Amino acid sequence: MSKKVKASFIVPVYNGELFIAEAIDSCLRQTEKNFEVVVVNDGSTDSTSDILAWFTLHDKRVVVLPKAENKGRSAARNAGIKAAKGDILLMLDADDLAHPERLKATLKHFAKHKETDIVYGKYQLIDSLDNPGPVVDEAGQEWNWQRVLDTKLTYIGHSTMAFRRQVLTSVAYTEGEWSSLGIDDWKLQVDAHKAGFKFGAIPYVLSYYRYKSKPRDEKRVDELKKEALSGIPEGNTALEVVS
Amino acid sequence: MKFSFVVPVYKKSAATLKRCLKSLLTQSYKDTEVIVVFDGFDEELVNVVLDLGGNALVDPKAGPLKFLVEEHGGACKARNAGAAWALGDFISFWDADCFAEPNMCNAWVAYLTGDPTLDFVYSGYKWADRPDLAGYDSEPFDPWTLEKYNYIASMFPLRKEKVLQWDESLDGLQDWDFWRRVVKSGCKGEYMPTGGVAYPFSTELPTADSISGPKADVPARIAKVRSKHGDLDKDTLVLSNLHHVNAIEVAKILDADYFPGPSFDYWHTREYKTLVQVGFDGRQLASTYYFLTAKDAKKIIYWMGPDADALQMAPFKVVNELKEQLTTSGISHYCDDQTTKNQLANINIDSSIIRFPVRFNMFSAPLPEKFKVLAYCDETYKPLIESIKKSMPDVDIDMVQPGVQYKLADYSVNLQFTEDKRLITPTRNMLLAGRYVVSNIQEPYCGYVSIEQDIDDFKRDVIKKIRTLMTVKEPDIKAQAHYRHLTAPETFIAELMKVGEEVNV
Repeated sequence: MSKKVKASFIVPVYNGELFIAEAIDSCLRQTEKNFEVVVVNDGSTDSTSDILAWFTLHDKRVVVLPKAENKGRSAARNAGIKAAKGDILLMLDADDLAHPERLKATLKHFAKHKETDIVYGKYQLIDSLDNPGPVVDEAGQEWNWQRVLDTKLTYIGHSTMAFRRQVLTSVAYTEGEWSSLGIDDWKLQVDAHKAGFKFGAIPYVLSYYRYKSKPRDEKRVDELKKEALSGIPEGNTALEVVS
Repeated sequence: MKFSFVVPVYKKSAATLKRCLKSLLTQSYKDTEVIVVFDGFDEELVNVVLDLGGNALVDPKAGPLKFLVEEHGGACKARNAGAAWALGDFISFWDADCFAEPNMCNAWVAYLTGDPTLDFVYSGYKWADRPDLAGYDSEPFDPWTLEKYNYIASMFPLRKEKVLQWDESLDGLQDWDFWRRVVKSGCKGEYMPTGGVAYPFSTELPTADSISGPKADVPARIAKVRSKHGDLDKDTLVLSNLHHVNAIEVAKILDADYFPGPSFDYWHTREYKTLVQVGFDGRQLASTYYFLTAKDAKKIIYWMGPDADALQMAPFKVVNELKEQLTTSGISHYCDDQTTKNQLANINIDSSIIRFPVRFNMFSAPLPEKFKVLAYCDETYKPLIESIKKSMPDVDIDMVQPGVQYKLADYSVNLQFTEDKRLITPTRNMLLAGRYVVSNIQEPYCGYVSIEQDIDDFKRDVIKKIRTLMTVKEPDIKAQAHYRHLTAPETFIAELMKVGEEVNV
């Protein structure tokens, strides 16, 4: 009889050969033991598949979904969520690392705060060689919707997020432009808030974020965010406002 | 295992003899006997022995300290006389002006029992009462170098059955002659390095009455031993001060004579047609005096990388003076690689590249069944390569640790990432064996990856190269042929020994 899996890490990966091994390894080192790591190979063309094959051979807790065509990060996340068996779902990007105490802190917070549906925490920056950078304290601040409206920023480190299962059965990651521009995580946070789910902040470093600046269409990002926050598409004259 | 110490005595001070004998009698290891052989009767010295509890050898109650009086006839005659009475399994021909550390015999026993096929062991020694002088470290056992000069003192234990007669006709270098004959008769010896065993004994510096004293006519003695052994006169002499092992290799390839460093000046008993200096230490010009001032010889310097590196950091005045000497004295300059050539060019020394010769190609085997990568990195590159290692849990990558031995034959691929862009020996040996290389070295077949790019792109390039090599089943025949040709001894000899203008390789 197999034990019920309590938590699932969801890790989408596309051409992640540089860091995916470390990312998965960081999940496997959790102090809290009851979990699985669901890795979704989003059509990688580098050696990601070889690395994932090695993990499935060596650790039963790593579940690799069959390699799909490249459909984007959101689609990959959604597929992972669907396949996951845990009651608590933790997100991790393929080049980030989870702190060994992350699962423990996450489960503790959920157990203590029955009204919280979504948690997140602080994160620390690391570079390509795992050299530690500054801790981003702002990321551990309490959820403030007004601030989101004012700044269009949530400050949440996606790789620190964890959800009770029911959140992600109601709200999904949005595919398409949101995904390709890398703001699908922001969209999910906003959608979850609109759907009435409650956020809780954990004041500890839960993950390490491997920051690498990538050029993107900031104008389009801004347009999409504005649209999401006002509920009015750009150029549309309808007055219906969704708060 | 019993040791017999045979101690010939002639004109030593009582204090010296006493110190010598006490040190032998108070060894931690007890299964020994000491046979003092007086090379001519000396009452005071005989009393020293009697005071220490010695008996005449013929005395049936003779204990561990015995003595014999011979008619004066030289140290060899005395040694031979004493050896005839020795009861031990091993005989040590001990000089009366030496005294031993208390655990000297223990070290001998450890080595001799560790390898029962050994006939003798030897080591270095230090100078008595002269802490200011560096000790003599001797060197690893090689019958070839023993033919060129002596590095084994008479003091070392030799299996009794293998002991030969000392040559009573020799005034000096008696031990050189003795050990040459012993080794030629097929004896196997082992060197006890100073690091593992502290200098086991001290020897006093020669006095006026010593065999090696100031009156000794060393060139004549050398000539006598060489003549006795039928040593041929060689045209070429190889010299070195810091690159001993490499210089011996060059001397063997060139079939030359060899002397290590300045302390062996007295072995220069004749003129040579060609002098080859392996490595040139610009900070020790005095030690290259012979090389620089010799007349009528063809002169070659084979520069070793570290010596050229040192020159880059020497004071301007030193380098200038050196440059004068080296560019006006008709010397041909060679080196192994472009980096060294460039450094020499910086001080206007024009050199030709000829790869250091390799006689024995370590291994030539099919690629190992299991794919393994060996990685040599300096401190600069270590974090990068360790990061790559973390990215590839499915590949066996061994990062080289200092002090650990690696069997190159077990690896298909060698990584070399070092600031110093010279091929290190293991990388060169891997190429000679047809194995693959990934490195930051821009030499043929070295799998060059540029560091002048984004770190992540660098990592991806290295990963790609390694993963491609995982699918290769055959050794790199082209690389092997290329490097074997470059390092062939024939190539080296032809280049160095040619007459006329040198040609840039």
